[in-house]
Amino acid sequence: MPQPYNTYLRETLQTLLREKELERWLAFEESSLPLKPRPVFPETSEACDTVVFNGFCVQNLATYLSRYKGRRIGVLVKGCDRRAIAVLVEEKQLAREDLFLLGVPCPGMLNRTQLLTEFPGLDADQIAEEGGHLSLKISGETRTLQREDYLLPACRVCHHRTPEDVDALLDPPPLDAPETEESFATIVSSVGEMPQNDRAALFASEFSRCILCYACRNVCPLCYCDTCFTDSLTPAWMTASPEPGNIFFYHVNRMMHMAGRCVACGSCEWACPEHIQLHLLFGKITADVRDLFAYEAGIDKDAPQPLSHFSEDDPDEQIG
Amino acid sequence: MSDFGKLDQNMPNPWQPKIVAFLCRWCSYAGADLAGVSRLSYPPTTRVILVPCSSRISSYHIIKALMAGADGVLVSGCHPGDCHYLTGNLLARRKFILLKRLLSYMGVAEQRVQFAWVSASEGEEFAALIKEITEKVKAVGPFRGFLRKDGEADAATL
Ligand code: SF4
Ligand code: SF4
Repeated sequence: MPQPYNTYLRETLQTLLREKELERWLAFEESSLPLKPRPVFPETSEACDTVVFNGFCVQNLATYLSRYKGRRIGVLVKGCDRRAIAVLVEEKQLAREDLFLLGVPCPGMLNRTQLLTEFPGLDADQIAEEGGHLSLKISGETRTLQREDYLLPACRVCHHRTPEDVDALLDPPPLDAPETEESFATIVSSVGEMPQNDRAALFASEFSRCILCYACRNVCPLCYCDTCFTDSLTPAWMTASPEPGNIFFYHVNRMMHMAGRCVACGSCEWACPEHIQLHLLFGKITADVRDLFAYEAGIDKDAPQPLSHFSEDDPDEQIG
Repeated sequence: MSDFGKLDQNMPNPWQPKIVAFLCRWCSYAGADLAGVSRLSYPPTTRVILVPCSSRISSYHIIKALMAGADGVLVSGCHPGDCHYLTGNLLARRKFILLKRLLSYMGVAEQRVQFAWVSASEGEEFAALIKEITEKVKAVGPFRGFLRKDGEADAATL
């Protein structure tokens, strides 16, 4: 993101912090890892001076809100952060009026792993994001890449980039990056069309890397239960030993809990230390909920959540 | 005890699938009961677990059954509209359709996890259902999907 944009963002945060009497902001600052900004919680004007926004601010900030319940917090929200907050409000985990939401029209987040694999050692100040392009300065040369080719899978198919129903929206947007035509249905149908054995082998090979660290659960804005089924001892459904049964149990049940709630922010995939393609799972459940119940989490605010509701005309496919 | 072993070895196909059947208390379990008192015979492959309602069953129970050594799982409750608690099976149906789609997408054979509506008066249907799902599970063989960490060997039996 061009530096002037960060200056504009910081000034906006500082003004609003004062004017709206916020206790603190939730936003991003650069971390010690390249292309991996971390959440920051500035309480003062000076502390806002490190805030940045760029194509690597993937993590869903709504995850942190449970620890500030009942306090006046400002949050910098992308489309998916806003949707996660909408689900949390609907589930009575947060009160909307406690929050001040500053929307940022999201240009779609970039795939850090892909960039670092292709360009090892890449650092934030070597990347300039301009419209639909990325310019990389590598040993004196400039390479121009199509932004679209480096988007995270969840962001490629996102059609709710600009958050709705916010208290203020950053204007102008940081970038004018076009959306793609794709949807999760496109991605998952390409897997669904594979022969059964290949699909089994695909997930077996993805899951064979899973170490059951639960990073994907911990980062998820919508996994807020005090006791997760993974930790339940009565009954002990599974253990954290990374064996195929436990891993399968964990992922299938996590997805069933996300059905009709997942906002497809991609934070889980971003957090996974083993680079497991979790979008193949949450994309599937998101696409199915949409297909079967015409529901999108955090968007269809007036409709009841699909799994706490039913219709007598629901499809009965494969059930005899 | 030893007689059983001998009997098994002499049979052309000694392997019989183990199928965990979660049956709702009001319809399917009564249907199984009716099959029993009507002296209908069906394969002894199911291990029945009585539950209050089909909506009591979640993806936990189903996957856990497979982890514990089942080759197949059946969940059965009252026909939609006939739930003793009025709406239990209608809520369950949404959950089951999503789960069924997810499992099959992940490469689990469709025959492994099955759902069926059986009422208390359907003893014959129950016996026929068990015959049918036993054949289906037999066709995909023993479930060893969770035994080994090595991808391909696993996947083949999912
Ligand atoms: S499951 Fe993943 S993509 Fe869905 S809301 Fe949670 S972190 Fe985001
Ligand atoms: S973050 Fe990755 S390795 Fe950790 S539990 Fe989730 S999928 Fe497995």
